[in-house]
Amino acid sequence: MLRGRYYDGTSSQQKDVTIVPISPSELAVTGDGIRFTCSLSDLKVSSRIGNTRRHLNFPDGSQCETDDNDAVDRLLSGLRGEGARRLLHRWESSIGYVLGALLITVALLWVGINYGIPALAKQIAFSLPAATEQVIGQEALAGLDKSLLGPTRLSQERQAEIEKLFAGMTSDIEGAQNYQVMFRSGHNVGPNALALPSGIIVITDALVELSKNNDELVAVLAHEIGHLKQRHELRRLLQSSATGILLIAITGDLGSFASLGAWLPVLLVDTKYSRSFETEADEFSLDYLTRHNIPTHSFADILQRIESKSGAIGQPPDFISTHPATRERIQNFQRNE
Amino acid sequence: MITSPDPHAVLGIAPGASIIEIRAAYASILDSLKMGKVAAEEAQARLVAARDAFVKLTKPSAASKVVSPLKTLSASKAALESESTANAASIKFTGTAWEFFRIWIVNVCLSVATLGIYSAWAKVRRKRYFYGNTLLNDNAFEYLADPKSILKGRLIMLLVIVLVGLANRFLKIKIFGLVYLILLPYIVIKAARFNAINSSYRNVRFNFGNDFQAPTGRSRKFIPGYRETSQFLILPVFLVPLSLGLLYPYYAYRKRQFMLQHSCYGRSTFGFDAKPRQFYLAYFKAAMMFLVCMFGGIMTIGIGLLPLYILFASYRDATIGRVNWQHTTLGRMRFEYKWRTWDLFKLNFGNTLAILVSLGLLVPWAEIRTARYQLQGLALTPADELNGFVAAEKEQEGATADEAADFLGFDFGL
Repeated sequence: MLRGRYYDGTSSQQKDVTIVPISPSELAVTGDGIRFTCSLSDLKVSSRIGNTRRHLNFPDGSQCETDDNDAVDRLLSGLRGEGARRLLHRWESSIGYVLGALLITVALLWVGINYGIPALAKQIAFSLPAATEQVIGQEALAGLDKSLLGPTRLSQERQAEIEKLFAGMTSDIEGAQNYQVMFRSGHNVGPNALALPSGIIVITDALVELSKNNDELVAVLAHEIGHLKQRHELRRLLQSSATGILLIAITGDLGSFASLGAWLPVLLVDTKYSRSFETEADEFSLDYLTRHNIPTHSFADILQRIESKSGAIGQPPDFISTHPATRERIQNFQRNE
Repeated sequence: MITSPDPHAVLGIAPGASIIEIRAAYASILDSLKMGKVAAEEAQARLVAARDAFVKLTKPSAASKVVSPLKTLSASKAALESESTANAASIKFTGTAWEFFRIWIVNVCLSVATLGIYSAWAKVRRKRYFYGNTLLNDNAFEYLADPKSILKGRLIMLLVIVLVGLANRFLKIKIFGLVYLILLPYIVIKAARFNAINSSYRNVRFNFGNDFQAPTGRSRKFIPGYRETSQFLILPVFLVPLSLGLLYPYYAYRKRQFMLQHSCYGRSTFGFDAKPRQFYLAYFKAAMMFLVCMFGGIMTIGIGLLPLYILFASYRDATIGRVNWQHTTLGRMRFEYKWRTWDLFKLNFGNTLAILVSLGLLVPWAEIRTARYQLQGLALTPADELNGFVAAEKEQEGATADEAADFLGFDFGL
């Protein structure tokens, strides 16, 4: 027997009722002015969630609300498919299964973030037509020209010299023939080089001035070519959208107070991806330098100079930085000699 | 008629007691029954007896409301407080952190494992938990959405975003803003309707926008209500920035008024009787608080920024929440509102710390705490109106139920 409150569906008036099974397939509902029977198979009952109230819906649109969850479960226990419908509640009720869910979640997230998303993004990036990158790259350059970068102040001869150097490099790198190098000034970015999708490498005047010889420039350009060849910018875009979608999938809809904190893990994962791309580009550069018998310390030298120039404030902690620690990067290039 | 015991004796008061004393006695009996110290059957009997006695004693005097002089100030204060509790339908939230944590982690696990597809089911399960644990006058709310509609809605939204994004990229057409503006009123109406129709209390559903006129003439291609909604949604997109934000409080006021005036529970509509100047005052106070907190943040070289920001957000929520709720009506009922800045600050600060320290595992705990505070800070008066709501007509209800299944589960915060 179970007690509940009865609503006829036409008004918010409530009446107390009791529900008693009168046969294995039928039950009787009685209360003040209410007396009817209902076949169990016609009854629609909301599935159990924790200990929240249950609603029994009768075929005529009326309803009974009750907090006696165990009695409802007993009432329905004979029905077909009832076991399956209770599966979720059973899972949520056992501490062991709940811990299992926690472990599975952590494991899935770990595998997905470390292997799943990067592998998927790589697959997609390399199967997209080159035109995709072209538009993204041109838009990015136009955006940078408007905000951070200005026209170069390097002499025509110096530009031509570096362009010739660059052409020499790309001629024997497969798939790099239509890459191009561009010169820009930009006092806010300091000595820097950028690789934009569709094969544009932007190098700032400050970096050219900071370099002591052409080997150092080659080392930096090789690093940027490494980014381009491996389509890092496109992959970064894809991966950060994927982590965003993953976050929304987990949290459902972002609550108001958690929204700020919720994006913190996404930021951490994005910088982690960025660091691994930098390492990949460093490896490409290192490989290029050794194959062409250029001293690998060239890269270490210019990196060191860049850091001493801009590193007055110091680098952010490793785990939120977009680049690996310079110390480690330099070691990689010095170890090989 | 059956002879019943003397109503004064049932309530435990002297004959000739004032209306305030009667109400106080009735409230204290209700409270003691709510504590659950008596067996269910007996409690039920005593509740019915007390209710009968209360009705008998208050009915004849309800018109005159004679109040006998009270002996002391504290006694009158206590009596008045109990009067308001006896008269208001309070909201109770019965969800617990540990129970919700278990539901949450299973939701997250299945959502991740199915690459987000299960998240529609997870959302329904989670909303059902919060609705089902929200008790107004000891009756639960019910969330009835079909997860498949929500999934369909999400897939369509994703498709639109991808298509518009691609068009932006490759066709060099900057249509994103335009498409967004055209779609916005449509999405707002659909989302509000979906949420309202799928919410029910005492087997009577809420609804949104069933009073919109079917469009005629040139605009008949649009859904009902499109024109009205677009007026208050699209114009501010241009006007608010043009006025340097000075129109924003007015926009917020119109938005709340519009959404409430077109919402109903059964056949009773919601209403909103605030004045624009009350919104301007609330937003002005919040803006001043923002300046003070940011100044404090700079003075403490950024260390105090997080707690001060939370303090500002709590003040904003309490102040704007007050104008929002104290002027909201449902039929003849009004909302009472008890959020306090300092309580909200303690709540939000604790939540933020706990979530950061636990790497997100305490999110469900924080959500339960927030829901409990926010819901229990609201009440509806007078309580006896709750029995008087009438559902929408039968045939219409059938149609809406079918329609509800058709709806795409668009849902976003407005």
